[in-house]
Parts: sequence; C-alpha cells; structure tokens
Amino acid sequence: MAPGTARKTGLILLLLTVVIGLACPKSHAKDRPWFFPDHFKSQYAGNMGLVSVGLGYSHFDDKLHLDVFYGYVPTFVGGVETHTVTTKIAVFPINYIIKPGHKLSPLTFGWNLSVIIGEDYFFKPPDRYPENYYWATNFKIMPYIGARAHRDLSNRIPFSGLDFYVEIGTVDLYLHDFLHSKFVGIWDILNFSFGFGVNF
Amino acid sequence: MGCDIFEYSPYQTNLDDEDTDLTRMNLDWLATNVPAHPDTFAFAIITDNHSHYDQLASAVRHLNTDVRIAFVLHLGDLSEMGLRREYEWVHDILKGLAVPYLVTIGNHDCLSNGVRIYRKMFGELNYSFIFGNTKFVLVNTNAWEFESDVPNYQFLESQLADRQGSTNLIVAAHVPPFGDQMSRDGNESKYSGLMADYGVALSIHGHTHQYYRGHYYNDDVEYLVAEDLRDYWYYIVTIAGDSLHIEGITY
Repeated sequence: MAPGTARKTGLILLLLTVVIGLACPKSHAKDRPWFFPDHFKSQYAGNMGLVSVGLGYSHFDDKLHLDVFYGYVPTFVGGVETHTVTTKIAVFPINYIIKPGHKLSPLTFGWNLSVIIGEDYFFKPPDRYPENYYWATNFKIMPYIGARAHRDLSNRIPFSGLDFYVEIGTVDLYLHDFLHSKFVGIWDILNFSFGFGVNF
Repeated sequence: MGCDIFEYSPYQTNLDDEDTDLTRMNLDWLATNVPAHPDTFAFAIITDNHSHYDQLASAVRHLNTDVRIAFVLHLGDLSEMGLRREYEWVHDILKGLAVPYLVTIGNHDCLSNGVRIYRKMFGELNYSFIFGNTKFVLVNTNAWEFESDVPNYQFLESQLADRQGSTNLIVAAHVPPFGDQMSRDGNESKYSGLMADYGVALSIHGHTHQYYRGHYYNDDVEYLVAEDLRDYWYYIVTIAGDSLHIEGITY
C-alpha cells in the first residue's frame, strides 16, 4: 500500500465513523436533544493513553457504540507526554440476557482510530519531501476484539446502566510486521485494555 | 522478546535499562577485541532493514559464521516509523551478533519520537572510535529531519582533523552526499569537500537502496552505498595497512 493510499484509508475510516454516528438511529429515544451523548466511558491502556475518557452514542439496539476519547500519557509513564484523540467503534453482535437487566456480550470487535497531537507527528510530511516519501505518522488504526458485561440501572437516575469491557488489540504497523515476518510473533503485537461505561 | 501486557501509546519512548546506552556498551566490548595485527582486520556493513525482520535475522546468522569480522556497522533505517517496538525488535535481533554492533541513525529512525528513542537506546547521533589502524567517524546526515545543524560539520571536521595516529579515516553516514536529503544548502559540496581535504579513504552510506561504489567526485575518496538488507546483501570491508578490500555478499 502506498503512503498516500494509507492516508486516504485513515480519512475514510474516520469519515465512516462520523457518518455512522450522525446518520444511524440511536438506541435510546429519550426526552433530550438528539446530539446528547448516550454514555460516558473511561478506558485503561489499549494504546489510547494511560487513561482515556470519552463520550459516545449507542446504535441499533445497543449493538454498536461510537465514541470519541481523549487519552493522556504522562512523561513518567511513557517517557514522553502524549495527548491523543481516538474515535472508537465497538460492535456487539452477540448479546445474552443472563438475567433481567444483566447482559453479556462474549465477543465484541471494532477498531480505534487514534490521532496523536503534537508537532513531532504529521499527516502529510512537510513540503520539502517528495510525494509518498513517508507514511502518515500521526494516526494509528488499532483493531481489537473483546467482551462486555452490561447491567441495567433502569430507575436509578441519573444513570440508566453500567458497562464493563475488556479488549485485546494491536496496532496497524504491528499487525503488518506480524503478517510479514516470522520473527514478530502474535504475543509481540497484542496488548490488553479494559474500561467501563456509564449510560445516561 | 519483551511484551508489555498493557501499552499506553505506540509513541512511548521508555526502554528497559538493558536496552539503553548500547553504543557505549558496544564500544567497550569492541575495545576488548584488539586485533592480533592492528593493521589487518575486517568489519561488516548492513543497512536499511526497515520492517524486514526476517532478513535482518538471517543476516545475523550469516554474519555469525564469518570469524573474520571484528564488528558490524548498521547504517540506519533500522525502523520504518521510528517507534519503540521497532527499535526493540531490531535490538532483539542484533544482540544475537557474536561481535559488537554500531549504528548511524537513518531518516526513518527520526520519525515521531525516534530521535528520543535513538538517544536513549544508542546514544550520540555523531560519534567516533578507533579500531586497529583506522579511525571511524559516524555522522547524522538526515538533513531534512532536523531544523538545523545537520550534518554537524563542526563535529565532522574536528574529528577528521585529529586522526589520533590512525592510518585510515572511514566515515559512515546514512544519506550519501549525493542523496536527496543532502542535496540542499550546499551540503553535498561541503561534505564531499571535507572528505577530500582530510584524505578520507572511504565514505560508507545506505539510504538509496541502490548499490554504488566508486570515486563519485573524481577525487581520492571512495564512496560505497550499501544495498539494503531486504535484498539479502551485506558487505565485508577488509583493511590491510592502507589498502581496503570491499566484498559484497548476498546470502
């Protein structure tokens, strides 16, 4: 894939995320403005920050979530301070009602598209470089699989439910290196993360 | 290989202690490998592995069967995106070498936080050492990756001016003077002028992925651009007195 194609892929995924977020029917029709988010989430690790916090929407009877996160890594943890904005798509195709108000999604999947903020990263390299000299360095596409547990808190204002989720993910470049070499093994490219959601 | 269960950012720069200060460690190791005859020794050149880890690993296996080699020079672009994981994977492979290895930074190694990681993992971007009868000067020629002062001519000239008793001078840098990143601000003529003025025997490079060997500027300085590792090439330079023998090896 040429660097230019990779840049376009990133943009298309981002656009797709936004279109799904704005155009798809939301799960919970409630007495509040259409743009009001359905949930707050916070995640630990997963290449989105030491901790990240996000707001998002639930669609298709809670089978698809779409969130925008801000994530932070302090210098003492990452060696360098990072600020990232991540759009997260989460699909929950299988949902078991364990008992009334308790739902388990044993296999979830999705991707995070993470953009890092700062002068050391670029979408397109500066003008001094010829076309297609470098890949974009400021975003990473990070696919994952995971699981989710949900509990309704239907009558407990202000929160209508709680989610807890775990994920195993990787990064586009790591996946490329795994697929193109015997040296890079599957356990070299995977990382774990977990988070919770509070439904409004 | 090290695998963190939790990763907070692919752009992280923190390293395990054992993966830091490698240039100094390798130079200390090299200092214990004094050649039997200081005028006669050999070293190997590898370059531009980018994401080609298997080729790098197989180069290491081949290099370890060659007992002539005193050390290995990696001429840069050891990563594709300058990320910590890439640096760690490459060192995991190169630490399998039976001899010390020394690195010059490549332009890809500068991407994102690559320079920060390079400094932690290896050390200075410009440095020199003496082995046998030869002084090696390693410089950063990735001019487009830095705002200014690259190449650092003050360092280069001071190192070339003081031979410290060595018979031969060899300079190693990622981008050759006739490469794209050296094509502006008079860098090509400044660099090649210094090589000629101080009687450098050999100037070694990577970056272009195309083999070149010859007296590019029709002076006494020989230039070698090494073929990249992904095409299964490395080079052995044998020094005997003031004569240099270069052998390209495909495997």
